[in-house]
Amino acid sequence: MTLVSPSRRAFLKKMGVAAALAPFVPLLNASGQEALAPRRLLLFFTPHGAGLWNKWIPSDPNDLASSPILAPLARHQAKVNVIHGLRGYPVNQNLNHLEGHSWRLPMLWSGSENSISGSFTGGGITIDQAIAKAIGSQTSYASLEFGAGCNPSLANGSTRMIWNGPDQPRSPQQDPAAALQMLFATTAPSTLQLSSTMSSLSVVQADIARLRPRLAAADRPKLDAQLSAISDFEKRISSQQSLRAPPTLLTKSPYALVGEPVPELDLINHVELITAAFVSDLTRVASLQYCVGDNDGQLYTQLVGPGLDSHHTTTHDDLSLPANIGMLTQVHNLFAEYFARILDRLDAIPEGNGTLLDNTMVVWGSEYGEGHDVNPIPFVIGGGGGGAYKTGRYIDIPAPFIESNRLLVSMANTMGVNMGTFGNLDQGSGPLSQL
Amino acid sequence: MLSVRFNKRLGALLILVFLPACLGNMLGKGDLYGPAPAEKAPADAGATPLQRLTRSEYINSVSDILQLANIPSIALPSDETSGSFAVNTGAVIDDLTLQQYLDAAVSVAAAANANTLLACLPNESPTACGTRFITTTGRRIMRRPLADAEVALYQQLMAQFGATDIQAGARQTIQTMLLSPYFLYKVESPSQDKAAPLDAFELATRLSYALWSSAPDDALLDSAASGALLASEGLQEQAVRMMADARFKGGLRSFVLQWLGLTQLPSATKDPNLYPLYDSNLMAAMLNETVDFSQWIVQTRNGTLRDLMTQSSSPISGPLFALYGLPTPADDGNVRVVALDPNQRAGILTLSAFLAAQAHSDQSSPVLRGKTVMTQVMCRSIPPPPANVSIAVPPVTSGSTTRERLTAHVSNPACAACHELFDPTGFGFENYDAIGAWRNSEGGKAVDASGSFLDSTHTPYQFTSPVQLANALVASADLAPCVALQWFRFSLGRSDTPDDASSVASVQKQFADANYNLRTLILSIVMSDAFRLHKPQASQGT
Repeated sequence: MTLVSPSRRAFLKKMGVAAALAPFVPLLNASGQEALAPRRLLLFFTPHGAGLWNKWIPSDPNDLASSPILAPLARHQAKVNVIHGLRGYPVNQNLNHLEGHSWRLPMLWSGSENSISGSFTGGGITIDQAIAKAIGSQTSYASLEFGAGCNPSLANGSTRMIWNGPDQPRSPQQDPAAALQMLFATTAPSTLQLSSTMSSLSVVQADIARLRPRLAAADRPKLDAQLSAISDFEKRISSQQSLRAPPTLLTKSPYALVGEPVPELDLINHVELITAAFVSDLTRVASLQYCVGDNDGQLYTQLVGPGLDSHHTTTHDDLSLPANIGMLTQVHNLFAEYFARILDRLDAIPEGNGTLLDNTMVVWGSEYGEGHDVNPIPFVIGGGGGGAYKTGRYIDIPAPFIESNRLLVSMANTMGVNMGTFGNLDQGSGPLSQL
Repeated sequence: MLSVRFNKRLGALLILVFLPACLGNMLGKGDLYGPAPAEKAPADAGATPLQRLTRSEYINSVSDILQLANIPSIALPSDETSGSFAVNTGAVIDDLTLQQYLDAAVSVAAAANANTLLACLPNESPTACGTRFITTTGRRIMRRPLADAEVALYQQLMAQFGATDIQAGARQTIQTMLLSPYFLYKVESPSQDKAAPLDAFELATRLSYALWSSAPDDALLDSAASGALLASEGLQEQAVRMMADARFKGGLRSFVLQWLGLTQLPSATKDPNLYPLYDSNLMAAMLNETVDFSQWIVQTRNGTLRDLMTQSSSPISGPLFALYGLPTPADDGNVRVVALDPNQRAGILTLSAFLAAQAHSDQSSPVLRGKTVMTQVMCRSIPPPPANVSIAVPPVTSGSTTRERLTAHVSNPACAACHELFDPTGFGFENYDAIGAWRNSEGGKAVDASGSFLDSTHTPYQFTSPVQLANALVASADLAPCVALQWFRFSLGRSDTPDDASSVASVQKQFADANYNLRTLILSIVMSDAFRLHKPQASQGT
């Protein structure tokens, strides 16, 4: 299903409005022409880093098949950028305390530190939300967050990677069937239903406006979020989008890790939903979180056999032992396969002169490098970002490496949001020049 | 969250680093007792962040307010937890949760019997009836009287949607109110940065959710409207009334199921070959038993902590008779209090639900039972297992007992450092299998239910049976202060902070002075400064 491009007038009108509200650069492809298809951003998280650097780094940078862990990406070699040498926190700062499990996950996409370990106090907005604030008005949903195995009951620094800002974790949608129902309506609401809903929401907006000044300042962001959700909802409803054909959810995962704490099938189905959401232009900013930045109890026995420690435990073990090397290599190879599958699905959608993958920047990141080390942490970029950068490279940044804030800035710039620095830890400026 | 990098080459060194933390927790009093309050210290309370209703609070509230016969099938956002209890103070209402609340509001409004709720008088005009409905139901849903401007907005809704059918107008009103932040959040407006008294309606909200896990009723709202609730006599009067009300069971259910970790029982599986008795009926009966037991002790018998922990009778029905080895009567569908064998059962920890929830699918778990008792019931702080340890349960082998399979916990110093804090308590439950049925042998050998624990005054307690264990817990110095603290946390919907110290101390003292009467405990909590004051949380940056 190809994207219907908006009329030029409508497109320019949207650009003009957005320019008044936020820094905005026109979406240009590599040859400087306006792209018809918008650019999308997808963040993908798997836990505990590269696993083992010496199994992650390809012995031949021009052939990803030479990396035992990244080998599944070989089929997308020309459309990925593998980056070794981005730091978990900037150099020259006394930040060793930021290596604990409760700190890392919120830092990954925010480049900011939480002020209290493990809680949702302090910290900063994540790059996807900063981008969504700037461009989200153009789509039905400013952003969509999905997750599998992200502990629905517990929102803290170990379990939540997407943040509206300090104190404000966003919880990922973990039930694909529920998300399917909400995102892809199969019947249009009747005029009466529509009128009923809109009337209710307009009264609620009045309630929120009246209540907000009477709350403690620290509590107001909760109402702001509800207000924002309501105005997004109203926009969606009144745009009267034609009904979208829903994607088909799978009933069986092709990888079949049955009985593990994280339902692998849900992860696979989230990929279907994200692909369909991008195709339908429901959103241009999405994230997919697999597990948490902490012990998830995954044993992967169907992959590595019984009798070994869990994934998290193994990352703390003696990494010179063959059993541990084997376990981590296999598990992180599986993660690479999950990522490659995302690229498969996006690349299968024709769009413009290429595919949806060409217009998307998929960023695969993780909260650690190897063991508890955070300098560097691994990143792989899949897709062409609408031509914002060249692809097919292994980018090796030498020690002392470069803070990942630079990549966050690159992500914003790719999505048309102009910024020089990002995150309360950022002391540099500009995008990642190596990209 | 403890995070330890364990490098095997430095193993010995790091164990020594690790041990003192465990020992410190074992021997120290931890946070059981607040510091002695200074003379004439200003009344203070910990900060309370804005809380959104939990799933059960939402369901109980709409059920009570709208007199729903059946709860419609609705999908509400998952709850977060603070300590042991579900409290929603973190995640915001975003796109998808708004949709969930929208769908829920529509479903609940449709399920309500608008005719009954409207109760229009024979000669009453629709406008008058509608306005009366708005103010009456609005006060119940929003938990305070509506301002004139708000009433006017709803009158417009009634006029628009109830033009031909007033019931449709009523449903529109209900649907709208259920989406309001005044309903979804327990609103508390600070007047200053320091702790200050709640207004009467805010206090009514705290009181009804603490005691009923549900919305205030008209009598409570009236007490708030007159201001009587703000005075100690009025507050006490309402609290006593509410603890005598049938809805008190909702609050007890909420506390007990969360306190003892029983909310996970519905998702537990048990090996059907080993436990053919276990099915969803038995599981439901188990949970109901523990809740009914709590209500029987606290409400019916006006009982003490000792009663809760050592009483050998229990209200049972249906498949529980067989589980407890009793003949099943003809009318087993009715719940009735039955005397269980006092050598086998003594109090809430020896009833089936706790024992089944804190066990595995195919074997008992001294670790889960012991750890739950030491952390939830004795308020010990026990760190999670170190990252480098496999926490897989040793599989059952024929002819072995649980105690034998867990020898590594005793023989390996790295394990024992922590496991000796709770395993010995857990062994006291070994006479109960994975579904809580009594057993005298396991793997062909006689059950050894001997164990011990140290309380925070360094007094050792030893026992050779679960009944002795229950009595030892009662005799210890820690049980009562811990139960008081846990109920305090539950009632306030947050952890205790140093600013709550004098309230906690006062509650623990009143509990003791009343010979540990449980209603006195709950009353002392809702009468405390921490409960009646609001302090806003401090801002952190933007």
